[in-house]
Amino acid sequence: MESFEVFRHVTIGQYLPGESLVHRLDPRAKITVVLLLIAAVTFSTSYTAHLALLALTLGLIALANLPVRYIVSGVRPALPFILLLALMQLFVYGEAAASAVRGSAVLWQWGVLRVTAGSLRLTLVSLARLLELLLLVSLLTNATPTTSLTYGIESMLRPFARLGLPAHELSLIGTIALRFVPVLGEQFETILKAQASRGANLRFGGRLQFVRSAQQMVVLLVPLFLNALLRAEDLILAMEARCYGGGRGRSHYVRLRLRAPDYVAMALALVFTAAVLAARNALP
Amino acid sequence: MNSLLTIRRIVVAGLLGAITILLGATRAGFIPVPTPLGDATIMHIPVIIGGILDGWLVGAILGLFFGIFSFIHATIPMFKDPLVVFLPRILIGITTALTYRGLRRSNEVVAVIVATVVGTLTNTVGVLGIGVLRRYLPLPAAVGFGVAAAIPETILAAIIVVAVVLAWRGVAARRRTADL
Amino acid sequence: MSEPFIRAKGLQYTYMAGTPLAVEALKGVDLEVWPGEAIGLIGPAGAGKSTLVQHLNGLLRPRARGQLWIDGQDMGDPRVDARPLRRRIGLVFQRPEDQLFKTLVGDDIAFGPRQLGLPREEVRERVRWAMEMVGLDFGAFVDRPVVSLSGGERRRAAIAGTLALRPSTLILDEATSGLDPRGRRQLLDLLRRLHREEGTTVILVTTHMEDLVGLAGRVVVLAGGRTVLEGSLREVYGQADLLRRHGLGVPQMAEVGEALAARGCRLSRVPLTVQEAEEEIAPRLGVSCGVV
Repeated sequence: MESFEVFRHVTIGQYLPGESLVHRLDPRAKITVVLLLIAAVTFSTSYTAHLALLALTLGLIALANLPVRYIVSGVRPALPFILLLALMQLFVYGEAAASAVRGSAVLWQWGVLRVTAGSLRLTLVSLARLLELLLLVSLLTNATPTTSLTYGIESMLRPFARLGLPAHELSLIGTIALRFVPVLGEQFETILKAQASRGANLRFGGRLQFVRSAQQMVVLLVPLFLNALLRAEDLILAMEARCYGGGRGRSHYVRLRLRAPDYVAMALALVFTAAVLAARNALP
Repeated sequence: MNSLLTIRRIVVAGLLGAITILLGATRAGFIPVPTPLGDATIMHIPVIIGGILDGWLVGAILGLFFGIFSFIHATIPMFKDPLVVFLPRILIGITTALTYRGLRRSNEVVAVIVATVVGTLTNTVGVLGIGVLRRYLPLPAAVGFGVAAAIPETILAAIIVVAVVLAWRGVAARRRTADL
Repeated sequence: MSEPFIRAKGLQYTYMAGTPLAVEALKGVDLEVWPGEAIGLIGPAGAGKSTLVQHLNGLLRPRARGQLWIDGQDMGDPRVDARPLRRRIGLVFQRPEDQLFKTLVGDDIAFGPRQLGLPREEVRERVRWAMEMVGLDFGAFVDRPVVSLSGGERRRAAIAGTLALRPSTLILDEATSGLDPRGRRQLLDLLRRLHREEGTTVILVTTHMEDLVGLAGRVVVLAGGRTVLEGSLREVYGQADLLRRHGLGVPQMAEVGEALAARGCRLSRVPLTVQEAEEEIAPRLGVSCGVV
């Protein structure tokens, strides 16, 4: 039964409190930096770029005093799949990987299986990307409290409100969602127990594999969705009763302010990303 | 008040978003399908329900949620690629909503089922397709995984989405009386 | 007298054992329930009532320490399958309407019996019987969509779903919460009926001691994860100090009796209901009952 208690503590990644430089940055700066670096990671294919990115992301994690091992440990259960997919990439994308110029040299051959420089690059870059993105995401989820993040996102979207983007409304959706996660988690537990008590054939024990057939899932998920929709109706009524009018002209209690370290971090990220992307094809 | 994002849409997106996050957090994946795509197997369901009940915008936003949490929890290179993860997921809600809107005039139940199938396939085909384009997976493997995953995903989604939508609307599937 | 149907000795339970978030909900509970009994289980919030009650139908199992036997079976033995047990012991949770998932009322109530593999006619009969017991007219409600029911009607439909299993024991975990006085009375009448007519063993977990009047022969008081008091309703009612010490509210009439005793007017027995209090007090005032 302990496994069910997990639902009560669901958040987007576990916030690990700290006083590091990274922790103290404005959430908007962090989001900007991470987004820029995600772009850099996603669009570069050179070994040099990824060495630099790996070094940078590891450096940032160290700067944030976050435990690298803990962050990376989530990968362990997926290792067999990662290996399988890497092998497929290595052998299958013989000719057509990366760019025609750099991809053609055959490195190893055994019958039909062929490894080229191109497919090797592809495989290694994919793995590097995984690691880098894991670390980058962690900078947001482990080093930034959830409320900061939602506030930062809303604040960043606000300028676009003038163009018609409903920034406040969008971030409100996020806030509502996060707020209801523990509630619905508990609800799910209750439903599980109640259905088991009234004749549903649910098997207990085992980690989280307590659901095994479509009917079992219907018995658990349908009441969960109905409950969520019922709660939605109540919340809609409550908001209407309070004359919720959207975000226009709304003032804010918490004011975020960008300071020197924030600007520096964003500027550095911008320069780095621009450099990496501009030099895409020039570096090995 | 934004006319596109009404209170109703905000709240429904929020609540269904909460379910999405919850489903994403239970990482074991609910269907024991032996593919490395275990993650996606039921998180698309709230997106589809949102698209059917409240339109393409809610569906797209829920798809974004799906994308975000799938991205955060992903441990395989292919699923950590933003292009693979976000684009198809945002489209799920849109294709579902449009299909449903198009078909609902003829038959409610059929519309829901077809919309669910379209939505699920948008996810499977979209993710695997972009995965192939980005060279994470060779085409034959993608097709193999795709078929293996799509069948249980689609069937399960259809069953659950239909049950939820019909129960919520108070509409019984085939008979108007209880099956007693 | 036969063997107790349920027997717990020193039952302990810790949530999330072995993690830094561990909570010891039950610290040593002794309990015996005989077949055909109706007992009340009361205690302040956090006393462990729900935890205890979830052991009684096998949802939770005794782990390291403490023992629990249900119908002669040792629940600490991992080989014992609790599922058949759950069909004979029906547990109704606090907001049972949350379990409804079918579109039509009749289908949802029929879920349990269908799971038992019963033939069609019997399923229908059970649904009819269950609906009648909870006061939902079969003809009027069986084909109604669940979403069209009021909150009280939904609750009754959910309880009917458990009743349709025809459990020999019925446990209700604060099932009256959120009901208006009429709804509460209807539910308690149902329990009395089940107990008297069907011989169902009833265990009622509640924070309202008044609910137990006319129903429970015995009351067990739980506090801090332990059994702290046990006895007939009148005996427990009379222990106002002990109840207060454990954070429990004292029934109104018992407080009246207590206040009178403090002023030197001791009633011959602890009043359980307003009527009993009237019968005790009126003669002493030299008036007949019913006069305000």
